[in-house]
Amino acid sequence: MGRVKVKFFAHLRQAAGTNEADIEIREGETVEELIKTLTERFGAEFESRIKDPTTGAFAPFLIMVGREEISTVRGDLKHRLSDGDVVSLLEPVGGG
Amino acid sequence: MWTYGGYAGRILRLDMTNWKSSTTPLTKEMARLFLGGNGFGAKILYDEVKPGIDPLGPENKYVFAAGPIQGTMVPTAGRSGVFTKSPLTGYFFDAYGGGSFGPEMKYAGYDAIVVEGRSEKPAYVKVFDDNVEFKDASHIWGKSTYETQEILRKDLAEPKAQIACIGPAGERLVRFACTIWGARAAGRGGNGAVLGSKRFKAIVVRGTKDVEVPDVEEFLRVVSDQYNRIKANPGTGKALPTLGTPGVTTTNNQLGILGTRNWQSEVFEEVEKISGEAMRSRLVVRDKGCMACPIYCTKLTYVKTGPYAGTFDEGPEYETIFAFGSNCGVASLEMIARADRMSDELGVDTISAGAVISFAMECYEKGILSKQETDGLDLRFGNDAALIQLLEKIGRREGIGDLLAEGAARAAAKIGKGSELYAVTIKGLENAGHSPRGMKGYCLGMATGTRGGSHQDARPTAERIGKSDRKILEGKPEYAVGTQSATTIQDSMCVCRMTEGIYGLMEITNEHLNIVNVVTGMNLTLPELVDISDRIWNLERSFNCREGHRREHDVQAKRFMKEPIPEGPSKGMYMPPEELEMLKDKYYDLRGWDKKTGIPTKETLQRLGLTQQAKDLYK
Ligand code: SF4
Repeated sequence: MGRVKVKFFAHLRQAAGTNEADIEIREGETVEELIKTLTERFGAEFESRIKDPTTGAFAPFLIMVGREEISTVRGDLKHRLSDGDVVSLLEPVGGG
Repeated sequence: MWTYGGYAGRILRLDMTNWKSSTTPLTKEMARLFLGGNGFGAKILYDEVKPGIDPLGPENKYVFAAGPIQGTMVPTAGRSGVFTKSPLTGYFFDAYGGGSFGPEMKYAGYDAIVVEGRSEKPAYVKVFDDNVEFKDASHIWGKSTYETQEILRKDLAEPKAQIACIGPAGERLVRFACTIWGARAAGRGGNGAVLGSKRFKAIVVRGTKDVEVPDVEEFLRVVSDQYNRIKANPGTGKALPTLGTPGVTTTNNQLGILGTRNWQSEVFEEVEKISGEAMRSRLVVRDKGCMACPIYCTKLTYVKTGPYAGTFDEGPEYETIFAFGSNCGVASLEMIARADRMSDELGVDTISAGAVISFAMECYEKGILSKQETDGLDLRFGNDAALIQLLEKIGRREGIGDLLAEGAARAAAKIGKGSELYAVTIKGLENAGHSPRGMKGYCLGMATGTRGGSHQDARPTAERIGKSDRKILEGKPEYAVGTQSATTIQDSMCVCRMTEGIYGLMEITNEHLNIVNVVTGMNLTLPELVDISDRIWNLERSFNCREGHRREHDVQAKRFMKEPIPEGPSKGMYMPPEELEMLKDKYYDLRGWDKKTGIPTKETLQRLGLTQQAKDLYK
């Protein structure tokens, strides 16, 4: 058991209704499992902002655990979280 | 008569010296080999502009061009481009704007409009279908871009006309002056100064013709399929409609790649004050889309209180927030909105304007420019009031503004005293708001790009969102080629860069192909479309090489090759010259360019049918 701080960026803040949240994690919980917890907690609108609803695939974006960058399309989503980690969900977007 | 769908079939020529117009047919060969947009721009300029001429002289030409999709309902087909030899870089330069100028030009019956020569007195041109008239512009010379459009629209009683014009900055030959239509800018490279040098104040276009596609049913099927995918995609369906491009501000800062205080740092401690989120909650009054666009990424803003109260702006976009905000150390979104609006009215590129101001601020803080030399302005980073005053001076070339209107590289060459390090330019163009130090592939792609300090040749997106690891060198020559190829074809179609996640971030895909084929009926194969992209890219390169561009010019800004990012999550990252040279070797191989000179090899040019270029470059 432990806790991580999740920071949201850009339009994920609107969908989550907050800039950050403290989330409880199980021993050895992975990034992927944390995302599942977040989508359950923040609902369909939140999920539609990180996954394509027609394909169910993750939008490409970076999740930072501390300073480590984990790509949703290339990275290790099985990365195990530790108590006290700060997890940042960056903006999934093309253009700019 | 040949029959590809999408094209108007004619090119309009405006001889400003004699106030005469003529039309030439768009040949089938030109459409098939160069598609549109940058392809048309590069072809016309290579054939008609002699090497070595002054970009601000009468021999330079300026081309408005669209592609086959403009005027149809393909998503983001409101876009079109302008093309000229840049007074900043001295090379071929392309810039694009949304809105609906390009479609109107097509409805009037033209795929491109070429502006030539120099008028004796200020002029504007009225193009209503086949009727072309040159008119005296004395009454609007000196007016802002918004006033100009208002006056002309009222005078001509044509509310639906599209008007492209320059502001006071273009008239005064500010080297990064732009062209404005509506509130959209074909922003970069100084095209507005080229129009100013021709005393060409504006063009008013109204058309009543149709743009036709070969199979309407199939067209509707392909377009609605793309439309649905744009809506479902988290980037184009959610992120951009919610916050627009400013959404990326906090993401870049979190990665430690947000240019700050003239790139002395890449972390801005007050980023939350200038974020897309703050803009949405404090300033945004409405969302807006360009013609045929379902994304609606544009944000209309209004400042209600404080020293900038009363400012109404279309934007600012991310690039402008970076340029006048973090990179000048300013944490006021309200001032950024004001500076954005002023830039549009003066007719200057916000990225270069912000960059010359941040350059001057660093020179001032380091004691290279004294208060006397800045006309009494206290140019410390973060001084928003001084920034606004300086911007006005630059747009009007007053006092120190006259020097800075030359662009950061030329200003540094005049100032000396080591200021060259603070001119963060690539090929003479001020660096856009994405970090070459923090994204290796993007860094290489910029250095080898046609435009230099632009984020529109190679792209940062795939590295920023983790499709490619931004920190490693492996695969980066391929990344540079792939993203450049995708943008080159996008710019010949003139679709908006915001759709790159739909079309393909790192390569040309069937998505590009399907749209091109369903509009034109050319029945191209994917390799043929890739050849078109390569042909255009090599033609642009040939234009630049004919001007003397060589391998040694494919470099990054001095700061990015010398100084590692000093702090934050990307601390330590930079592009040492030897690393860049190694990447360039592989890049030239992939491109089929001579490693010693950086010129496309004879074989490459011949393979792409660029035989004249092969002759010119291998005399
Ligand atoms: S995505 Fe934005 S800039 Fe691009 S065409 Fe649509 S509204 Fe215009």
